Amino acid sequence: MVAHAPATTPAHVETIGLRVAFGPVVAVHSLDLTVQPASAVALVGRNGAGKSTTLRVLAGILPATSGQVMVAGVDVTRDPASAKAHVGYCPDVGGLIPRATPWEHLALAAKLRGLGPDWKERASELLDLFDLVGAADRITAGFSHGMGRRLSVVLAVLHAPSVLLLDEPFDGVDPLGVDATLRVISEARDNGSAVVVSTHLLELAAAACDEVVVLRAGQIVAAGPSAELRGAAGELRYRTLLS
Amino acid sequence: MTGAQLPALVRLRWRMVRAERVRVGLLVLAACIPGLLCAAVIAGQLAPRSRSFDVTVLGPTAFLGFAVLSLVAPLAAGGGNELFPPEQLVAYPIRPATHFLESLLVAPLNLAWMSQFVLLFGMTSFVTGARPGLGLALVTTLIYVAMVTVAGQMVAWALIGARQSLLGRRAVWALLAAIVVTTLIVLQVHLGYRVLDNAPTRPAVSAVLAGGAHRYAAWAAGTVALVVILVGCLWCGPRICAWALRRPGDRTRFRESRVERRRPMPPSPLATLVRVDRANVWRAAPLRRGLLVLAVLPGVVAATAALRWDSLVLLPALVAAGAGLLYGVNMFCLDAGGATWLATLPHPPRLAVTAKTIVLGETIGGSCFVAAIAGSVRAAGPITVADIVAMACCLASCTAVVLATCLRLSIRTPHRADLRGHRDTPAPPAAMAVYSVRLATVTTLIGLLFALSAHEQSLYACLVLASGLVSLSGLSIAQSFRRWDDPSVRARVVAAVSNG
Repeated sequence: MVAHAPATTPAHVETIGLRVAFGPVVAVHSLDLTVQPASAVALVGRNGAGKSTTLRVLAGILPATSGQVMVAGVDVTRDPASAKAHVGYCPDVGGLIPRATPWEHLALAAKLRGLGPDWKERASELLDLFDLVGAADRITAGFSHGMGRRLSVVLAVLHAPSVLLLDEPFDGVDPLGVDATLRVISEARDNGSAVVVSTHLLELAAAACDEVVVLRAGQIVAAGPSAELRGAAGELRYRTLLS
Repeated sequence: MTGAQLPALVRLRWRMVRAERVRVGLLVLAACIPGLLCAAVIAGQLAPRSRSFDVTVLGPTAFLGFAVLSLVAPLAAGGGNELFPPEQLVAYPIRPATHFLESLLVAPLNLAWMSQFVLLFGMTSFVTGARPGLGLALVTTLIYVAMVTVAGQMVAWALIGARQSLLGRRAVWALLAAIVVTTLIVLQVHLGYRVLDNAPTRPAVSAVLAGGAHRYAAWAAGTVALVVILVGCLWCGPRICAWALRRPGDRTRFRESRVERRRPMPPSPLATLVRVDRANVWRAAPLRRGLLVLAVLPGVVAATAALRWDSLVLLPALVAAGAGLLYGVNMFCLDAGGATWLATLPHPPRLAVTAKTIVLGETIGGSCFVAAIAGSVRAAGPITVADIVAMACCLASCTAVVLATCLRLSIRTPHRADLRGHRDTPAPPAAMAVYSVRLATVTTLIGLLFALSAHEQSLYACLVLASGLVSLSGLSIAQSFRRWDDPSVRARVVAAVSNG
């Protein structure tokens, strides 16, 4: 469990006893996670630890098998449409319609989210920040992996969501793209959003987030300030937790 | 190495069919093929002999039709269908010969190919009659079928390879234009029947007839010639396939890096989704090519044959099934990995499925309409109100039935498919074979009912039948929409189409 903002502020993300099972395989096992506004939490852990599954449940894509999931004060199970209005989500793989251009993705997101006419200005700024202006009208099937990741982050932050969920946002991204991602995470946190980042890159997790939650076999095995996982000592401690 | 690669790929494909009932269904379907061939031979023997001469005269045309189909089918599939999408095999050293042979292996998983094969067998049996030479005639037909199938794959690969450069594309278009112009001239000067009577398939038909008539020397000469061509194509095919696969492919890279024009925002979320889905269809190479072939080719063939109006009614039925198979049987695969992102956008779940239903309806209805118009240009005989009503009712009914079936299949059995390469299909080969049988059987039956109604000039029957079919399809679509409302169903579809 993580607490960052004053205790009186309602949490933006809260899961109580979250369990997700795919038949006999339990991906997430009784997970209690709280993320306060204006804070960033990194989910780390081995492959199959349940990080992406947790984010998918929070994003309203995957229904929980049991447990309660609240996002920005909205029960995701009961009212997924309202919950999705508060969430910006960057999936771990793909996440792009293959034969649509970035601008068409942005226009679709703006229309379905009911954004005002100023979305174009915001979209242009984000495309510029992520160095995608030149590719804004090319279909995404021809994009490199890193370009696709950068665009997925742009789509997640377009509407300045109160809950930002980023699944492996640094995977295959060049240093300038990493800087841009760190910047939007920082801005989101400064604007009062709750940010959850899933990654295997410990140093970047520590740089982006205040808190780190270590998952193993669908359960939290450790949580604490990200500073504790910095450097060689932090790395050693993390490896111990994983094993 | 090729000898080991192909069985390994087939075994893996078979293991990936997880459901026991699907495996049983596929085995039953495979077991039906020898049965169908036997039934065709028996039917040929039992049929009254009064029109034996007419059918014999039609032999070269029927054999030519099969040859054209054997070329068009792999050409429409970008060289031939495959057991696995190319991106799933990039880590393995798959040889071009394996690609060529796997395309050949899945060629019979095509309803049009199989039905024409059965038809040729039945025709051979009919023209040969109850003579001891029937076996020889059937052997020749079998070798002819194998030869044109291999040759069709070979020529398709050659054309695909040629189309990888600007010069090659221009040459292929020039060749196509020359064929069209020649066909038009032949039709205009009323030489169609003479050309068909002297089709290049005459020697093959002569060999078949020689086998039936115990003229062993003529039979052996014709059959050996077919075997020689078959062996030649089997030798050349893999080499041409290797050449085509080595070509740099500027076309795909150009399409994937070209700039698309920005257009004004549509007025509603539904219109925005419809626009994205339309773009997804028209920007996909296999879909664009498939739509072109589906909409134009049947209509041109019907126009060339100058079909009667009551026969022309069948055309929308045949085209509707093909249009559904282009991507409709797995319509959510259009979004591929983007399905995950789309699912996180705040919109009513029915909005996305409605947009896809509208676009698929446009695709099926539009293809049928174009084919019907093209076919009616040279339709024979006077047109009546009943003919027009039957055609319109058949078009609406087949579109509605195929749409409802596709929506149901898309929700029940989603597959991962990028539809990026020329040879990509929306589902694995065996699933496509099952879907094609299912769709074509239903639409052909519907088409026959409307053709019968048109023949009887019964307006009332057409309208009643169409009302019933469209209403039933509407109910089925509504039921599929209700299934889509279930979050766990949506999650399963999104997971399948985005991650495989």
